[in-house]
Amino acid sequence: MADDFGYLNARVRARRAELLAEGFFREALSLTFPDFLSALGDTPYGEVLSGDDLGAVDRAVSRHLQEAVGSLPALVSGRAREIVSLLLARADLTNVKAILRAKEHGLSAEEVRAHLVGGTLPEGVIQAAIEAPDAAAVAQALYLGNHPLGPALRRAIAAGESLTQIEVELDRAFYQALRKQVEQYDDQFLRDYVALEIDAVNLSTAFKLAQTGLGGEQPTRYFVPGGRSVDAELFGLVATGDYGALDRLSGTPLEPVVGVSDLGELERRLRCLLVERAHAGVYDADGAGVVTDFVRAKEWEAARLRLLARRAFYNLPDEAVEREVFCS
Amino acid sequence: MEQISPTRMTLLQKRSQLQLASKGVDLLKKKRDALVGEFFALVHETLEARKKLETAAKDAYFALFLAKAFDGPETVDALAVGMPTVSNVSAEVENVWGTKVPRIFAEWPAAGAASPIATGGQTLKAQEAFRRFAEALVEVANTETRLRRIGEEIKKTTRRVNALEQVVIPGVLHQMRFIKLVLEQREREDTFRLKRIKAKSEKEEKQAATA
Repeated sequence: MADDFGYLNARVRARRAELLAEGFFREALSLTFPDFLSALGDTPYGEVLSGDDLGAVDRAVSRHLQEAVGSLPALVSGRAREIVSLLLARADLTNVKAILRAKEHGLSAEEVRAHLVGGTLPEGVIQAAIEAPDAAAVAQALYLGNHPLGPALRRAIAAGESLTQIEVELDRAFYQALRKQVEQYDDQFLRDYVALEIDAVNLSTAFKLAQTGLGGEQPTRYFVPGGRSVDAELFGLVATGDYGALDRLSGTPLEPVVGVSDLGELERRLRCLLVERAHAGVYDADGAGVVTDFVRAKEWEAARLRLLARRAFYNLPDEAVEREVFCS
Repeated sequence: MEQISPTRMTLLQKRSQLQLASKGVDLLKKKRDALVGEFFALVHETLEARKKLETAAKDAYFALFLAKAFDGPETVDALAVGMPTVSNVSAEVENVWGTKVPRIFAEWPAAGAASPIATGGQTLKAQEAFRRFAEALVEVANTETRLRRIGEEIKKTTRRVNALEQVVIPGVLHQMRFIKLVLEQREREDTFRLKRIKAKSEKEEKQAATA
């Protein structure tokens, strides 16, 4: 098994051919739900599409995404495998939080499984976490599985934090582990991309704090270090509702968000910015750029399909959906 | 017609019943007018509340669709597990022109039951939008229940007014007329009887004088 990106990038380029063309999304914007299903059936999603309701589309999108990107780490070994796993690790964070939440509210193992998405956690670790009697046992299972979230979860539980605070600690630990791990690799594109992603997360968090009114209570405890353009001071200002402070981002990669004061608009612009930046990696022949672009492109494609399916199913207003589905 | 004893006492009773019924009609009509006024004032409020509910529902579901699209349906469903829905509900009964109208008060938990770092903005917006939807729902429940209760009370009052005006009062008047007729008849009979007795006694006196 290859341990560099040469082989993996060749395989990913072949898979890129399965990405849906822009024309599909344009056309889907005016289709009825049966026509949308029919059009989706003619794409690679058709192989996993079974059923004729919205749930069938969601299941097909999740399954196709898992098959297209979830199998990438298995194609390589060594450093390349670690990096690819890193790109998919956000799903692990989501899964661990879902398991903790389910534990807290006494959900059955089957119900927990219905809330899990792909990710890189081995089946054994997931099973152990699901069967764990409490959060401490979940932390133990992660710790034994050498997952970076294991120690963070143990620390948060030892500090006697609430579930929400444990989630905050896990989120911070995840991005810190991501940054630390990326620093170890000699891959400039990946470093730049992760730094930009952390900046985007911080900006988005600051907006959420400002708009939920939580910004006043020590906002910097939600700050994730590791970005390049958004420092703790700017984070604190935005978190308290000072959107004018965003002017400081002029001349940085985050310039497109200057002047924004709405969370929805901010996330829209950040989403497009990250997809665009990831796409620049397609020319990174020997690095993680190609696979980063592919993973983000597939995630973006999945989100667009889910939204377009809902537009067709619930007859949502075209303009509102178009604004979310296209970057321009 | 019910059996009534055609006496002066009954006539007096019927007369006071008539006065009471007429006074009742006046009071009920005043109550109905006040309720109708309240009803029309509430109609506008109810329509506004409905409109607000429809807008809140549209916003909430659109935010939820965006959240499910961008954060994934599994993630949003997982976040919804155990999310506190309502922190306190209380109800009190108001008295509107003698009509008991319930009013519900609901308190909602403050935002922040999920980490704002990795939870999608659309998911948090959906959470907030659904809270506004629930608030609008309670407002509609309050205004529409109030409107329905007042509407029912207007109908009930109108039925009572109609019953008094068209059944009770005409009935009492009819009974009074009947009693008066009987009493007059009795008076005429008494007069006739007295005249006959007088004539008889005069005749007897005359016969006695002749003899």
